[in-house]
Amino acid sequence: MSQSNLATSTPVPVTSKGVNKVLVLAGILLLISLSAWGFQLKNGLIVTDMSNSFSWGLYIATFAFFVGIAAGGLIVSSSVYLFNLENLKPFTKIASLSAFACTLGAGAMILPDMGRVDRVFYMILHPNISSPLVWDMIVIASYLVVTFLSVYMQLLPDWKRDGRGFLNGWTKKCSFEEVEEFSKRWSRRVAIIGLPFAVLIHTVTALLFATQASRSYWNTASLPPDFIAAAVASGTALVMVISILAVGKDRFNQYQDAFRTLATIVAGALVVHFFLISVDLIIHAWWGGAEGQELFYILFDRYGLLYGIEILLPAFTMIFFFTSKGKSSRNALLFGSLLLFIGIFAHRLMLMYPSFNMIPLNMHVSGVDIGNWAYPVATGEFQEGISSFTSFWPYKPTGVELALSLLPYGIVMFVVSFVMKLYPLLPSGLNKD
Amino acid sequence: MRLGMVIDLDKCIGCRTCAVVCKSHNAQPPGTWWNRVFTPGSDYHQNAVGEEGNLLMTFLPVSCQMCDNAPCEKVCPVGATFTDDKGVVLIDFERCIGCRYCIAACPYNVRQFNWEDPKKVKERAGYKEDYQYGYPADVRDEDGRLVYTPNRPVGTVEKCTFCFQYTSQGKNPACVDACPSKARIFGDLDDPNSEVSRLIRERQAFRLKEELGTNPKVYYLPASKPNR
Amino acid sequence: MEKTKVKPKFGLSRRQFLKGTAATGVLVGTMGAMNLTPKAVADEVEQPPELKKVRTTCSPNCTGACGVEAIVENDELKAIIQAADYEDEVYNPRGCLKGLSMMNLVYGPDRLKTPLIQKGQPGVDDLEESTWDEALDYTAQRLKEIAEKYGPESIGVAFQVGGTSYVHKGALSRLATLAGWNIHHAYDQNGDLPMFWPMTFGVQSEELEPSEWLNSTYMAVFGSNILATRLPDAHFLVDSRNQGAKVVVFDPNFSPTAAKADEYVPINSSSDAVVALGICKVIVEEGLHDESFLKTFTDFPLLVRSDNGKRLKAEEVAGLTPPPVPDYRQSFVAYNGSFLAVDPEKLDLPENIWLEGEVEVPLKDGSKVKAKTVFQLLKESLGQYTPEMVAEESGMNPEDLVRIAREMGTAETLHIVYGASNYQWYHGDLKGRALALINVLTGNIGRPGAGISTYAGQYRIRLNVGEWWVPEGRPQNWLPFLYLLNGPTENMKAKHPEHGIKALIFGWGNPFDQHNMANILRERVQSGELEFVAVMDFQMTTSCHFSHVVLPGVTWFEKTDLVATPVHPYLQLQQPAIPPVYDCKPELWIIRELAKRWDPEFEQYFFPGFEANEAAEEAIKLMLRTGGPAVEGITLEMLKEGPVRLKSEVPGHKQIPFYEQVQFKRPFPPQSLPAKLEATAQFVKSGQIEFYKDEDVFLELGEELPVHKPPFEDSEYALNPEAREKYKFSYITRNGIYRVHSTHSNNIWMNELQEGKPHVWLNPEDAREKGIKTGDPVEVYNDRGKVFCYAIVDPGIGRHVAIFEQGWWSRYLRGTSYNALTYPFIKPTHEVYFVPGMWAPNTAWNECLCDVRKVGDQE
Ligand SMILES: Nc1nc2c(c(=O)[nH]1)N[C@H]1C(S)=C(S)[C@@H](COP(=O)(O)OP(=O)(O)OC[C@H]3O[C@@H](n4cnc5c(=O)[nH]c(N)nc54)[C@H](O)[C@@H]3O)O[C@H]1N2
Ligand SMILES: Nc1nc2c(c(=O)[nH]1)N[C@H]1C(S)=C(S)[C@@H](COP(=O)(O)OP(=O)(O)OC[C@H]3O[C@@H](n4cnc5c(=O)[nH]c(N)nc54)[C@H](O)[C@@H]3O)O[C@H]1N2
Ligand code: SF4
Ligand code: SF4
Ligand code: SF4
Ligand code: SF4
Ligand code: SF4
Ligand SMILES: [Mo]
Repeated sequence: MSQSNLATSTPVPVTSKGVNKVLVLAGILLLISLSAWGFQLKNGLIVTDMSNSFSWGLYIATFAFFVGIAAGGLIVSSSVYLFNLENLKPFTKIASLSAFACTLGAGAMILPDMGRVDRVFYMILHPNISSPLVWDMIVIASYLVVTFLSVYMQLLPDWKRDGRGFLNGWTKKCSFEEVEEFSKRWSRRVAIIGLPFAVLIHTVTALLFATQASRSYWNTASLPPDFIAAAVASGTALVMVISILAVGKDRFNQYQDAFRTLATIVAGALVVHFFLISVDLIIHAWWGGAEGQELFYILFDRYGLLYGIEILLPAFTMIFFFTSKGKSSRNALLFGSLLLFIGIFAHRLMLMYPSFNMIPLNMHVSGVDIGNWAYPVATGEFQEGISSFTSFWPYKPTGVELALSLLPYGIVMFVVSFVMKLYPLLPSGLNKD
Repeated sequence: MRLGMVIDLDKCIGCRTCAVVCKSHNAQPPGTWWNRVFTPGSDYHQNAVGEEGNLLMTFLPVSCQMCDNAPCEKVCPVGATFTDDKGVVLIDFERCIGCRYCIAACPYNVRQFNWEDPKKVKERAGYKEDYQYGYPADVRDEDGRLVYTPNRPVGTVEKCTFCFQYTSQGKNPACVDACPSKARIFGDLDDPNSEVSRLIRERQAFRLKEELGTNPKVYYLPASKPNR
Repeated sequence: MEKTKVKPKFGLSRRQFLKGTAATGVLVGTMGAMNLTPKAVADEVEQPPELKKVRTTCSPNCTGACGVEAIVENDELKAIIQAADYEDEVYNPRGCLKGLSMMNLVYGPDRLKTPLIQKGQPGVDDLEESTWDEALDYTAQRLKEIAEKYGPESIGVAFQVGGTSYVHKGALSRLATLAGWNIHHAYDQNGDLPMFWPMTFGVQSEELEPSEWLNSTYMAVFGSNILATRLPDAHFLVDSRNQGAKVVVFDPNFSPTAAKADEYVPINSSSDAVVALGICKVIVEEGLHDESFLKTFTDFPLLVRSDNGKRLKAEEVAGLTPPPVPDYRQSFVAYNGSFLAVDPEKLDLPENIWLEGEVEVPLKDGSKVKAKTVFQLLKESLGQYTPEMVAEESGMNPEDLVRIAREMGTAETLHIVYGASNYQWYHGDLKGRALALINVLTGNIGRPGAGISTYAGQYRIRLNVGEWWVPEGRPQNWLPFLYLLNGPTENMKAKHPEHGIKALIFGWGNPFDQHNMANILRERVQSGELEFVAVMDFQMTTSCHFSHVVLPGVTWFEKTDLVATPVHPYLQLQQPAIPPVYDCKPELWIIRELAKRWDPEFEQYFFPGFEANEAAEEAIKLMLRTGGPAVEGITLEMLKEGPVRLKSEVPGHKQIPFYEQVQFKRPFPPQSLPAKLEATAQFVKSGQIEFYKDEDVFLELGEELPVHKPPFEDSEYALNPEAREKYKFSYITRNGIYRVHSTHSNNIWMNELQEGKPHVWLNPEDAREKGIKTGDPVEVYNDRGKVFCYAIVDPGIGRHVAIFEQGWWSRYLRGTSYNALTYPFIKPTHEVYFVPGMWAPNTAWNECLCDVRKVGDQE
């Protein structure tokens, strides 16, 4: 994204070529993903590589990824208010907007995963309150509202000044100061109530998995805190990245302080993340047995590469962001964040592999030396000459899945760049030189 | 009344007739099996397990365990999976949104998803044009919920219903009537005099993954041979 | 969402989801494939639909003959379930996974739709659709041409064994008889004829009905995989064991049956005779044999001349006058201090008759000859089968052998099951004679729960069918199938047609996969040596691809027929549940149409003017009327009500072989239908159970008494001495639970259950040596041919055994054939026992050597 165009003297919408390019890119992504969705609707989920034994795949991983990075927004804006991290203040609008967009993206990603998307409104008509999915829907919807309000509140004064805006008719009667005052007060309130929601969406999304006693890899109380830690890390990193890009190369130094703070948050959150992961692994290893062996085989051997990515890239970022070198340069921060995103995405995918490839119905066969025999599962797919049963599904997302998973990326890019194009997101002061 | 099933693994000869009759009477398309029978310890059914001089072969049929504490039901966001007044866990084909959360939740891997329109699968398999096998009519429960339909809507989940179309009429499930070894016994677990209750009491019945607390209503009798 | 009230219309053949108005929902526009189903309101609970249920009989070639109920809606078969209506509760429910999934064949992709004619090269070009008239006219014309050129006996007819279809198969026999064609009997073609039966007991084959297993206290199973091949009866094995019977399984391979047994005894392939004889030696040595039984019912007291090895005839002995006997009998001689002319029609030798010993016999010509009793000779012969020798040959532990021999010797009721796979070896007759000896020595014959049984395919005819099968008692031509493959032999008793077989008409069989040298048959069709082949089947089998004309028949759900099979002694009616699918026709109709085109005079033999199912009913009435004591008093109307137990002389009409002989002291053999008694009794002229065979061939081969001969010596190695070094694996083609031979080879669900692939099972050690892992594509091969399949490494498989589950259509084997490896060996002792339409040289599928290699690895 080009940044120099932000340097107008009055806070006017950004109308840069960069933003336009992003918009075009977003359009392309949306087009690709929506056509993939159309194709999937026509043929059924058979076009994916999921099966009865591997019932969730890239879609849910992407969903979880976007839920994670959606955290950043409110964490940044709330920190401003809660921890008085004033240096982050310039980025609260961007942060809120990215949170809003990511939540929207996450919500959209879940739709194509539904076999009957035409019936999703049954979740509202006939909600089953014991289902973590229902709680997730509620907290995500609430978070969407909160992030929306956060953006809205913060934009009110600008809109008032420019005499434009959205759902802001009521401000006509008020003075600019009144609006500004209102905006301040409410932004703060929203940020404060937003924080628990940010924590909740991760907790509940984690609970979606962690409640499942039949899947030992998920079924751990450390999953929710770990989700939060990973979310704080990746969400903060996302705000940082957008901000770095928004302020541009030239003014990077001006905000270096803020970026340092953000990087420290990222690294700190990663410490917690790794702590929780290791505790879990230690428990599995200590308990040992056939199931433990199976898990370690899947993590370190069968999916060793993916797991390596999950562990090593964020680990590098963590260490890197603790060093002053890593924290200080624009490229270092962008690079570290990129590695982190890849790592966290791998982490989300690795929610699926070890879990679905350790068939819950497994047993010890007494009398012979068999410790962990997995009862084969009917795949749900039929092809002549191919077994209809499996005890291991080497899931590889299909082209359609890959294409369709571009949907949230398209949405986030579209929303962020579109809003940026319409309204100034960096405070006017920032735009001066 | 709590309907339950006992499967006698000593009598079970691993013939898979129950799996096939389930498939046919419940119109499961190719690739879908509500009921499976495998040889624990072996990748291929009816292969020996162990090594020379120490060989073993037992058979284990698995369909929906009809959990009293059913995770599939608890996770279902729209209440499409529910337990009826006889304790049978059912799926409403008109309610299911196809989220497949229940598949992830079921510890027994018995849930099956219609990844594709079942009609298309049958067509691809090459059956006579428009031919449909299985119990040919829709079946609704007392609340009008569609719990069986010969051609399931694409994108919904399905599993053993304890043959609702038959058991709601007081008949036996297909697999129980079809088992040539009479290894499957069906009845009321609440009735202490029923054959299922008696067998559970007398024969050291066990349940699969008991430790998960799902409380299945399918019981197994051990495959032990008489000791002489 | 709009709520529409929908009343289900059960009249629709196809139930569709009613399309609701998709007023709500996301992305409605793109949802063409997704219909919203309006929910019926609560008070409108649906009534069960009107379903037609038809009681009929599943009847492929497996012996099951299970009574099933077809669930039919709008003339379409929707589901099948066991009828479970046998009077004898223990037989309910009878059925298996194949029978209950028949819709896969009735409506499956390979179902024949119309008659087909080959206008190009069989096996290469596609057959073309034709009308019935075209196909039938063409067939009749080609047959007439061939008959004119080579005589009608050059037309061969094959149809699977009769028990599953007395009407339609009978019709083909009827036509073949009228037209003077040659008939290839299915029983020996299948390898299902256990030749020890005629040799020892003078019968075709016998078995206890499975409910009798509950009366056994000891079941010894020699190579019969009951859990796979007797699926509906397998529970009796477990039930019997749980009631206290001891079950022991002898098999080179750990089978599901072995898994259910009390004891599994792994033995080397085809070493059963040595095991049995080792057991007999212990029994005799320890005096566990039943002397009085032996004196009454066996040839053991008979004297055998030491000079020529022949049994001493009463007419040869000085001073003895043989009692008057029919032609098919012979009076032999026994001794109890004086010589007795034994009356073969009476089983009444005195208690003091000698079982053992040697005497000098004065002959009529004044000379003297030494003679020993059969039992004496037997004891001497058994001497070699010491536990150590048995251990050496069979791999069985000597202590186990002795223990098991004692257990058997003292068992109250011993039942031995001798599997088809086990007698489908070159020396299968010897193994059977040795196994039967255990039962006979211990008097375990002709009592509830006791006996030896061979549960093979549906062979024996249970009622007199002559009136329908053999019109006016006309002569028939029978040519054993092995001669078709092998050409005539020196010792053959059957008449070989001068020009050989030039045309083949068959039904209910798939010889181009199932019969040995299937590849040779294919070559003969393609070279024109076999000039014309016509097949009746309901699906497009490999054989259809190699035929000139394909005449689409129907399944057992589409016609009327009569069924009664040996293992399951009920007479049952097959009733049409649905009309013929597509343009298929009941075989009786096809045969009648062919008959009238061959000779217009013949039509009258096939109930002209009657629709096919009515004509079938007429044939049934005829057979019930003339069927003899087994069907006495049974009417068509009774059969329409349900299955009726066949009559027998055993209390409760039970099926216990030789019950009459043992309980009522009737001479052996009982009659084996369809032959007349004299035809079979001539082979046990003594009227007793015969263990001593003195025909020249037996003497030449040293097989006058049951002995052990190792496999391959007289077959594979004799054919090609190099095979000894080259091929170390024995190729065992067993049956799988997913097929009835090649029937259900293409059943979609069955294939889903077995990875959709044919497999070969190997011992882990052998596999390791060959670098083969489970799942590897491999070739099993020998000099004669090869078969393509996938390996399964199974610790239950014996060393140097390659097991292939037979019955796969060639198309699943990349065009290869598993029967390209087998060879049509003819054992000379079998040729002696030729009775047209009954006994003939038996095929030995498992007498076959091979090797295995990974595909890609060349030799
Ligand atoms: N499912 C099914 N059932 C069938 C049939 C079918 O096609 N499918 N066909 C029917 C017909 S027609 C027949 S003939 C019967 C055949 O019935 P079976 O004789 O039971 O058939 P197989 O499966 O060939 O062989 C059974 C066992 O024989 C063992 N065996 C092989 N050689 C020897 C040997 O030399 N000694 C010993 N002790 N064991 C040996 C094999 O290891 C195998 O375990 O099955 C009938 N039932
Ligand atoms: N290598 C090897 N070969 C073997 C064996 C072995 O163990 N090893 N086993 C042998 C044995 S024991 C047997 S019994 C034979 C069996 O061999 P086959 O007699 O050839 O038996 P199937 O393969 O079942 O073929 C029966 C055919 O008849 C058709 N059919 C069935 N019912 C009807 C009907 O009502 N009408 C018409 N028109 N057609 C019908 C079926 O579609 C099927 O194609 O195979 C033998 N071949
Ligand atoms: S039908 Fe009966 S014997 Fe056969 S696998 Fe099923 S439970 Fe076991
Ligand atoms: S076995 Fe699975 S599908 Fe059945 S009730 Fe239990 S959790 Fe639900
Ligand atoms: S897939 Fe259907 S039944 Fe399963 S949880 Fe989702 S809505 Fe409920
Ligand atoms: S009860 Fe019915 S649905 Fe359930 S496994 Fe048995 S046959 Fe299938
Ligand atoms: S295939 Fe044989 S055993 Fe199975 S149902 Fe039919 S007749 Fe019975
Ligand atoms: Mo057979």
